[in-house]
Amino acid sequence: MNDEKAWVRSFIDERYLWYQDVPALDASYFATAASYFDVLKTPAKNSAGGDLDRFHWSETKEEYEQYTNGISVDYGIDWSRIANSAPRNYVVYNVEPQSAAGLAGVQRGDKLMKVDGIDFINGTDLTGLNNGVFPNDQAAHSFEFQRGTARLNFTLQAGEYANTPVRGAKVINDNGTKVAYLYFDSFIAKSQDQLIAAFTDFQKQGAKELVLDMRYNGGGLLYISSQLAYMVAGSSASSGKIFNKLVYNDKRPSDNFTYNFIPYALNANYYYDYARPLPSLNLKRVTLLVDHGTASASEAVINGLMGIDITVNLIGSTTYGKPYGFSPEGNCGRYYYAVEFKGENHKGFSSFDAGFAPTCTVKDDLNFQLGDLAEPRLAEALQYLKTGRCTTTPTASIKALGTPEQSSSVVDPKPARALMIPTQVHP
Amino acid sequence: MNARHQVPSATLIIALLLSACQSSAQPQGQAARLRTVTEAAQQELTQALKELTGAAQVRIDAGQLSQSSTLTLERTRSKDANGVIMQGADREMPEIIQLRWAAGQCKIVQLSTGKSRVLQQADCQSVP
Repeated sequence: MNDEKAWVRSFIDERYLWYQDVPALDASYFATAASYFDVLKTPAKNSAGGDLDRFHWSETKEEYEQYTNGISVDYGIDWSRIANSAPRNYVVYNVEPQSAAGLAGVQRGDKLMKVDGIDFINGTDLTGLNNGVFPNDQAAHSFEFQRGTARLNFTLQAGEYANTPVRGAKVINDNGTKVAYLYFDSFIAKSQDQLIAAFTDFQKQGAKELVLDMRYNGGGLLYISSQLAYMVAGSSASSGKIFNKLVYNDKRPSDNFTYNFIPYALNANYYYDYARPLPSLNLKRVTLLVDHGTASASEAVINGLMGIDITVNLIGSTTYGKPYGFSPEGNCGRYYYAVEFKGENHKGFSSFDAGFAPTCTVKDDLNFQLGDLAEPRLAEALQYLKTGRCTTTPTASIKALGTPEQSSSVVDPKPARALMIPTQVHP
Repeated sequence: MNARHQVPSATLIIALLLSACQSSAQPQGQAARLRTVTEAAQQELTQALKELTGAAQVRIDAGQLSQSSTLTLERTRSKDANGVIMQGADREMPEIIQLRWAAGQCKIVQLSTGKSRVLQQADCQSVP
């Protein structure tokens, strides 16, 4: 155990971005190497007064060593947990199209009323509710939802389905201006081809503006984010420019690594596939629909484009604020993630640790489907493109992380993917 | 950036350099696709992928190999209590697995290492 703790301390001293700030702590006070690791981080605050390091974590070898080719196992529902205790209020804010819920017709905005016949709002059978909402098996469970004034019943069985990272790609003819809209949910490997297909279509249709809906996109593969940024900006704006420079601590400058804007698809060996140049809209400005769930690689797209003087308008609420990253390191059956680098754009900027504030603040209204022209954030984006003005004034009321919402209809979702996460409803 | 997309970590660089040395001889046989995907074939493929990658768990849609000769495997990303991906700025490149037909056998090859496993249950055919 002492060796494990010594390894953890050594790992932090060598690899952690803020290694100079880590206090000297007596390892013997900590029962495990993991609990010792948990406190070996900077006490510094970010620009919003929160912890600078909100990202320090570790996981077991079994949790780490899980691979997929874009398959998930759950109902495919993301819940906005407006109230976790009675009277409970869970509303669907996102549905995976190929999942059990997506195929059955569950929609964003559906409010959970009953689970396996148990009153979800005030029921006292917590075991029954948790078994249904967060099952540990793949048994069928019945759900009653309220949609508008209607009550809808579904029987859902959690199971494997293919993720759909690129959704809702279309070109909107907005009074003669062709505006591309793309709902992009995650930077996974299969998104390369889906993004190429979407941007090729946008290009063919002559789109002159782009609204990129990444309100729930928590990031993923950085090379995909570089490709996406290229497809927005094009060659003339991005050639020879830095998309994201990863800067490590001063003990390891040779690890610094630069992502330029990647102009090609990558082949199976991660070489440029010169037969597949990426499509591009060559835009001077882009509008992103964002939220607290917009994080990491998504924010790298925002920062990378800003760094080459592309105007980036943000509609929604403040993004997560994660200009950092790490590569896990394993020891004695556990993998440790300590912040190792910050990501700078072409201008050397990386100071968005409290997130990017929106250009126009607009709440997420679950009564509207994503891509609906009346959906308030998309509507605001289209309006802003025409007038350059917000219909709402940005205020200081942007919610802090985790602040519960009381409204049942207009909410900023608190994400929770149903199934196999250690979350429970409460009495 | 030069023609070779830069790869993320020292470990991967070493792995890819090794594979570059090995790949001077292309993997034997021809790229292949699955003709049909049976449950037995899916199970065998999953087990073979676990052995190649050392993974504790592999979730795949083997149907992808009926449309393409390659399978891209990436780590499942953990999420925090708010549903935000923990590893959201990921430098690690996904593993590329190729299905090949050689000497009357169907096998999968991990391109980063050149390691392979023969599939007994798979019904596959070479593709041009």
